[in-house]
Amino acid sequence: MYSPTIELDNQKLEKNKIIVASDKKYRSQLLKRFKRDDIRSGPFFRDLALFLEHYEMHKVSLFFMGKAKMYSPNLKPVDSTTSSPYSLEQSKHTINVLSAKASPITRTFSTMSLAKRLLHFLFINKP
Amino acid sequence: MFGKSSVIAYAFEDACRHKFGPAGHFLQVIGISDSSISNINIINSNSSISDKAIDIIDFINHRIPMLNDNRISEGRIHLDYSNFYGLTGKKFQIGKDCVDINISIENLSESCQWLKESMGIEYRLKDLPDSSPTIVYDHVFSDEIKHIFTYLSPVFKKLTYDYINDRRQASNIDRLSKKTLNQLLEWIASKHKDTLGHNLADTIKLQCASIANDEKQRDQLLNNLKRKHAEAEHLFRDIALFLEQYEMNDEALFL
Repeated sequence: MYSPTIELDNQKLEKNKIIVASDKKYRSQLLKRFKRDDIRSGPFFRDLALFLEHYEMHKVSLFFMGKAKMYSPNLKPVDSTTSSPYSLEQSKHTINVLSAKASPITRTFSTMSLAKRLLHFLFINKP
Repeated sequence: MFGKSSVIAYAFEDACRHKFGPAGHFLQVIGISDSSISNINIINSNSSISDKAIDIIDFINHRIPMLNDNRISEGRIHLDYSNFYGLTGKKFQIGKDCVDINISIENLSESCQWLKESMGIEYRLKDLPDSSPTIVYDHVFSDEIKHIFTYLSPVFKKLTYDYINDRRQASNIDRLSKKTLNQLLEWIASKHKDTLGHNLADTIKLQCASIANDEKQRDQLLNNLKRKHAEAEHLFRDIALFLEQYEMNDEALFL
């Protein structure tokens, strides 16, 4: 016999199961990252930000991602050991914008760089 | 060691013009064919950065040099300037005035002469302008600064503000640039009030304290996670305690 109470309980149980499963997944992902020795501040805050993002703590996540980028400006938006996609939409957007607007990589060196190289060559390597 | 006759010099500009850049030029010189080179993943580095990026990094380096007694200066972080690499603009052009201040045109002329006679490579100083071209600050610059500002260290935020404030008062600034820079200052003042609350020395002190705290909290969390074999409840509790250290009490509830 159908019982709305039992149906509701079943739904709650199912939901709990999903939450526990996702908790386990995110937890093991984070632990895998934090298991490594000598974790620097940049990757540490990035991984923590990614973890918190799973729990929809967007503001907090962005705060720690900001720290991550402060410590490691060249930090990759994904963890190379897990290759998990970077899920912070707003930061991703920011990074995309920055990438798109990156100075035209001419592959030729700037005059400044050239001058430095020239001077280094002239004054340091001069026989 | 090898003798002068064993040294062959190539013009840097020629090397840069190679399809695969200086690395490709070098590989070609030592006999590797273009078809083989195309299979090699050549990583480009030291690519050009814009006039605006160089100008702002130069301004910051004058205020706080990266190194002090061979150690990273207080207030600086390794590679902190890379945040500015994304600033677009014109190619930087060094001026004779800048050369003269740093090494003098006369010395450079002698060196160029030596390079021409010894290596057959000619650099003509007359091609250099008297001074670097004036930088124009437009809405693109404004948008780019706004995008990276969040990621700058407190000291860099302060110095970026000082830079904008300094450049807007330059005597040769054009109307568009002045308007852009004024608007940027207003934006920083409204969105990042904390940037303006302290002088540079105090900002450096606060940043050092913040970094020390970050390291302490990081080490504590990592140690806890490693020691307790990371049971689920330990993980969430430890992260909750970590968040509380940053006064994120509501988020620490993981609701």
